[in-house]
Amino acid sequence: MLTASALIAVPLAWLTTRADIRGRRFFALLGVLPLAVPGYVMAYALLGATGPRGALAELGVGWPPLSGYTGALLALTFSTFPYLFLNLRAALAGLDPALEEAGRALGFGPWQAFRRITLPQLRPAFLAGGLLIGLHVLGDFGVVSLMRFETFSYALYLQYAVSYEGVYAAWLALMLLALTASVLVVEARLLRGLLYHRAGSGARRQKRPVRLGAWRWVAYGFLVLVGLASVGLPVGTVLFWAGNHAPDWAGLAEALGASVSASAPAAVLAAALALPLTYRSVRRPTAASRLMERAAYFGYALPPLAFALALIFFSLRVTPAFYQTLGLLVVAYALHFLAEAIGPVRSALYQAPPHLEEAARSMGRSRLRAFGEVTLPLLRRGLLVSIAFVFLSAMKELPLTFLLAPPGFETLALGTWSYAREALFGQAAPYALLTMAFAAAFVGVLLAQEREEG
Amino acid sequence: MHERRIEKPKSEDSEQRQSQNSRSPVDSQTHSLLDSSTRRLLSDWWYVVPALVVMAGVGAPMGYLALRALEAEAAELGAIVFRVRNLRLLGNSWLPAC
Repeated sequence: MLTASALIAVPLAWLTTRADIRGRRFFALLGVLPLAVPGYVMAYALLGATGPRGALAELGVGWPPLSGYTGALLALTFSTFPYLFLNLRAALAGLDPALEEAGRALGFGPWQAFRRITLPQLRPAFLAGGLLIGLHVLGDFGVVSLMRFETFSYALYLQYAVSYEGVYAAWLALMLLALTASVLVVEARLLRGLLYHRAGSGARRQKRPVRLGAWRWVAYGFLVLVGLASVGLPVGTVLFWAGNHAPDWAGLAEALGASVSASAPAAVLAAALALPLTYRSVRRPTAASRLMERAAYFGYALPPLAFALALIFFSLRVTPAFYQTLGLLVVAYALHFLAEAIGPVRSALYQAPPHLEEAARSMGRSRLRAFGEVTLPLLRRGLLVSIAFVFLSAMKELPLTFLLAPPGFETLALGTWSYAREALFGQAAPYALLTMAFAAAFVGVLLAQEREEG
Repeated sequence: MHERRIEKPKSEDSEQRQSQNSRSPVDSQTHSLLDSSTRRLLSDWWYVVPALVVMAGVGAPMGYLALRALEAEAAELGAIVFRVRNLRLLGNSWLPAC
């Protein structure tokens, strides 16, 4: 997966930052857009496009059915390579061109200079992107279950939901946790002691775009192919099946209502938890406050299926009335996506001057009132972005919903997954289309936030 | 000239010092430590409550998961952990990740 992602992300990042091609911004956006296609929608698209009854066969382009390891690899690669692309693009944009020029002056050819000078400088970006992809793939349930490729997540689901073997399911969850922890430890070890900042005097020069000459057409071909495979294929397949099947409007509206009724309170709860934790760690940083903030990230790194199983066991034992209720699902969403709520609040807090609050306190306001009257209005935008992030993430969340939703509670994600699993591609299409619309909105908010900060 | 004296409000430190003077040195130290930590916890309720919610919400279920896994008897435990299937799952989970 990492290798396949690197084969797409490295040339894509280089072409959109260093090459003299037209429409670099457009192609860079095309490299981010696959984030709007959740893994299980990508898997659904691959299943719905290939095989004797697939969309490609209907268009006269026969393609053997994709499933198992190959299908899972392709679906996960196309839906996660943007994590690596974004990191590599940022690293390449910040690289000093003098390093490569020094290598060229010492007799390196262009390829040798890239391999021996540029590529090692991209190591932190590779590790950061690789970590995100690794965590995503290890925690994935939608893709591997649709492609019927048995990983820890899929086995955990089979063991719990089909075989009802609780103790073995708990062990599988612990093994999955150990695997996730090992990825985090390896990444931290590999990052230790890396220093790639500029040490000389003066400022970094502007880069000149590399002239590709006739190779430009090969580059365009590659960019179009990546766009077609990662965005065109899923959107085209979903639209094809949506056009071939009349949607069940009532069922769709019910699923949309269910998704919103779980995601909206979870988003508000996550923002409400993020605000005091972040305020404390920014305004009065101590070891304890930093530890608390890290605990929020721990919840995010936990594989969702393992977390869901732990919540089921715990609620059955300690709070049975809470089991299989909307409340448990809302709490699970809020705790899992809390890390997404922290970022925007923290950025807003750094921009809100503490002196204003101190001035309000010196004028006799209590701490709470000074915060409410002075700082809170300045954090409004950050809080709204936090709520949007968590809401949109929860709208497309599958594994937590799958195990924790009350009986008969069908969200958009569950509708897409359950129809696609039965190969009812037409019925799944409207659910997938709506899920993609919410995921696209998430990417839109993310890009707008980055533009604002950058 | 008559000098006006401005009476300073008693700070937390001076209050603590006063209460310490009325007790034996060891007792007063313990008492002031407990007092200050409890006071700090109470005044920081806006931070302590959500922190506890997050810690308990994530930590307790995961801890209980470990307890649930250890419910198996020793012989059964070996059979569960050293299943050949687990090795296959490990390979299958690593393979797409790499």
